[in-house]
Amino acid sequence: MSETMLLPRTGSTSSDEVTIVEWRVAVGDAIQVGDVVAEVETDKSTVEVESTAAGTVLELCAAELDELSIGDPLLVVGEPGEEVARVPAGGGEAAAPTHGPSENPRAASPFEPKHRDLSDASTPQPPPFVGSPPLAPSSSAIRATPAARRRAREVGADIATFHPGSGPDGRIEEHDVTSPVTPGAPSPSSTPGWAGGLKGVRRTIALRMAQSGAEVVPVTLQRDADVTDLLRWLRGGEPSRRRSLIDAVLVVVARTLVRHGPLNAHLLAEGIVEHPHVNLGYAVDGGRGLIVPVLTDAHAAGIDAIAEQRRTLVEQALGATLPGEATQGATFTVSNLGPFGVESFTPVVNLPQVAILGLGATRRVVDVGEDDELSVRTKLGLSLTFDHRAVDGAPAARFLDDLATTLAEPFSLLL
Amino acid sequence: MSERRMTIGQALNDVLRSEMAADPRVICFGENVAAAGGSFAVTKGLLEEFGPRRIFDTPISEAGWTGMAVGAALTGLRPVLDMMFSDFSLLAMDQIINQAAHLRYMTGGQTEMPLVIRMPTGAGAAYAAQHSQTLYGMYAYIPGLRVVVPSTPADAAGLMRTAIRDPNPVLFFEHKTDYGRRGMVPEGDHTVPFGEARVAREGTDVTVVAVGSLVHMAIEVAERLSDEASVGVLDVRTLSPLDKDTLCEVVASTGRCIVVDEGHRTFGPGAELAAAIAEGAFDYLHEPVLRLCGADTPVPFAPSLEKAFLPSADRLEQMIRGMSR
Repeated sequence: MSETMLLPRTGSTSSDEVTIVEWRVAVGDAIQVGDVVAEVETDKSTVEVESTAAGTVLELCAAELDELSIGDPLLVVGEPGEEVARVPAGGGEAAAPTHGPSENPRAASPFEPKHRDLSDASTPQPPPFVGSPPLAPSSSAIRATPAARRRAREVGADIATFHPGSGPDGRIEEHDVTSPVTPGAPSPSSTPGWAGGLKGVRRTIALRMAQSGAEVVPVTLQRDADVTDLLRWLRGGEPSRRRSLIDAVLVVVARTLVRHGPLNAHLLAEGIVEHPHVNLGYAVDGGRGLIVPVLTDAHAAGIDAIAEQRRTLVEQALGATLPGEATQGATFTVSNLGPFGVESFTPVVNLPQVAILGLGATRRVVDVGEDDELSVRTKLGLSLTFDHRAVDGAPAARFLDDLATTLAEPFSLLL
Repeated sequence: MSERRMTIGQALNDVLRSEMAADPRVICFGENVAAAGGSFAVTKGLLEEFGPRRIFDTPISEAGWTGMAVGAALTGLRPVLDMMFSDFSLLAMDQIINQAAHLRYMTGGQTEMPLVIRMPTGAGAAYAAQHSQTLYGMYAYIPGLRVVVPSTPADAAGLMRTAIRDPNPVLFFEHKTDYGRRGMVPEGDHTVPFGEARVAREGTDVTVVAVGSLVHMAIEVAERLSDEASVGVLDVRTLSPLDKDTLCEVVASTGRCIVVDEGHRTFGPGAELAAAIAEGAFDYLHEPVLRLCGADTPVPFAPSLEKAFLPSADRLEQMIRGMSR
């Protein structure tokens, strides 16, 4: 008996559409549960899809670069040489003539009776769930683990909204059930017309920027930080031990943020939530578009740990192998346009965060000292955009001042 | 409390000796228990120590001498019987079920039934279908019987002491391939209460609920998989009373459970354990509760087939892998 594997939800994508980037199996291959069968691109990243079925691949249901929705048939496995049981790809409406809606109780009515009689196994059952149903099935008829149903009750969500899940045959697992209100996540139902032609990463960026533009009341503060001494320290010592300015700045930003809770916060439906930890988003030009991996608990990491973590994340972002969870949970974001000679700019707040720091280029400038003494110093441009709904100008300026002072006297961090 | 390392057989022998010494009402009888010291040497040396009035051999007449024990228990003695093979207890079903299990109830609690029947159980020694069955599930079905299935020397000792002192009929299942299993046993008046399952191994991903000697197979598989998954093992210890609270609590903490039991799969003890989990821990389950049990056939005599009949470590490993993927 052949079995159709449905495209599972992979990672924490906010969209149901994925693009098949590459098939890793071909018709005739024997596969096990857990084998990687395809690489797909979601709106967040490129991820590997593991098989939920075992057997010989009889059919691949899509070509590379095809776009599929979660729950669509991905491939069919069975015994070698077995005939593929034809299944309607798009639910009842695409059913073959011999298998019309009137013969298929599931397709005929999305409202299943609450209790299905499963006691008599010899009674012909409607085929197991294949393809997307025309409407979301009622919550009693969908496959979900008891733990997933409990979780849905706890967060006040309808289990049907998480269909199909990541388990076998689209079974909803506990981890598929998320809180129904996720501020910042674009809702597919409210997609504006202009986004219709956009796909993948571009579409996510567009929707998030539009949301930020529509909601945030942005104010950008700009000033310089004197990084002369910091650079001298970074460039001293063995060449192999040299650290880069960006990693030092990230360390200083993270540790300064700990002292400025209002900037290290989320604006959520329930209010402003200040975070005790700093998860630093770091904007990367990822080839397919802007991508923001997260340096988790950056406030607790030393410069070498930050450098290592950042290097790994950037490599993954460029190689499109960033796991979905690596872009989640940022409490503050840093965007660096300095390498392009930009001195200052107005970065866009990444909801539900309340502020973002733009880093500009370093410049050699003649500085007038306190006793009118002239000296050549290196200055770094800082651009802090904050959401005035959540933060006022003074606390934002205090943060920026603290940051600039600490960058100028990095050894104060040792005190 | 100091401990001593001994086998399950030695631990049981020790407890019988100390209980017989402490309480003159404790007597032992059955086939081959006295002069031969028991088919599995559990009553070895007791005849020399306590004499033929306290421990004696019976004819091959299970219904007769079990009935005698019911009468003895009813009138104030505390008999400990040796059934040699639990399969032979089928000859004494009327005495065990109709009489021993029911008399306390039918007299409104006016009588006690302090009777222990030792039931060497299980397959794995090529004793064939009539000497290898796992019958504790059948007895656990009968209200009024206590059904005990220890897995370690310490539990064997502690549960046997509790059994001898209990006012109810207790069927005490000792796996016949496990008498030589060694472990530390607390010295002194060590008892283990009925109705308390034991967490034999902590685990956060999957819980294996095991009965009797299969606890050790489950632990072995859990250790083997320790790099891949955190597998806990729960030792049921007594089927009646069954510690449903601990059972459900432990399974709820992982949400994934495999019940391992040597009894036949269909209508076996594994089914009751799985049902109790489904009732008590349903909201925490990530997957259906699975069973790894003895096959639904008589126990084969050929060692290769007997091995195939029994739950295997490899099969358990596969099942756990299938869950924690």
